[in-house]
Amino acid sequence: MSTNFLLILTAPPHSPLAEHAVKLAETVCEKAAYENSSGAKKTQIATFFYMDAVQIANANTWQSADKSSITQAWQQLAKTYELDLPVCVSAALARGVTDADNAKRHQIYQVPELATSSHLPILANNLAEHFQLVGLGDLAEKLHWADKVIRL
Amino acid sequence: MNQPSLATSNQPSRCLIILSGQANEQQLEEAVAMSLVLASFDHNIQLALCEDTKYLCQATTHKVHKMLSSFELYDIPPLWLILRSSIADYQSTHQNITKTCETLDIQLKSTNELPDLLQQFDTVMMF
Repeated sequence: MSTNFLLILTAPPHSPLAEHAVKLAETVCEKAAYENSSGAKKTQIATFFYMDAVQIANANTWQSADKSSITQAWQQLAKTYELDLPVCVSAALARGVTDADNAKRHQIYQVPELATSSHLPILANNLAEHFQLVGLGDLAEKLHWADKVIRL
Repeated sequence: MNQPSLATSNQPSRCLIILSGQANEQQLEEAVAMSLVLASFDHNIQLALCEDTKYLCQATTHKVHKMLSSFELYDIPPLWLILRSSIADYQSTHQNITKTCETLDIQLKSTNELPDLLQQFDTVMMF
């Protein structure tokens, strides 16, 4: 019997829950990859970043060298296992995380003060690589698909 | 690992979303926004307020209150207010909020009922 896991991430990047979430995702991805290689595709995983977890997708977050970066850990999972990292667009914009398209649509600039001066303002774009901004409809579709839903 | 195909199942889920006093204003707003979107995608949503968020029932100018008031447009059943005490005890000591609940069609539930109530749902998310 197959199991479709949906991880809904809501905890901020510096919380213990955020670390647990990425470890859990890694374990499920490893299991899925192992099953896939043996021809028995039983486990699948999808993620959705919502509420304070959207800050994980901020490419400008600095992390001291003595701690591992949650953002990089998710990026590594995305690269290794071709895992999608969808981020709720409204929650992200509310917390200052944007891609170039949304920055253009909502007139979000790197230095807002320059937007009214004679300088050409630069659009903000701080969405980390491998993350994608999506609507809440994406979560609704994944909830149809999932057998197990875990919110962390 | 290839990305999962989301077309493997199309069963609407029965989802209980509980709002607690742990959530800040923005998180409450996002939890309700999520409920509305899930309901519009044919999920069966039940929203419940913990006793520490009951102020939302009476805060008529609060954005979350206005969002909750739009629930019938989305075919979301009446809200639950989950009480720490028994319903009878609560009604005798909180007549004001009880009357508001009647007006807004909010159903009172006691935490004692929760084990049975939870059986009705595939997914429970508490914010």
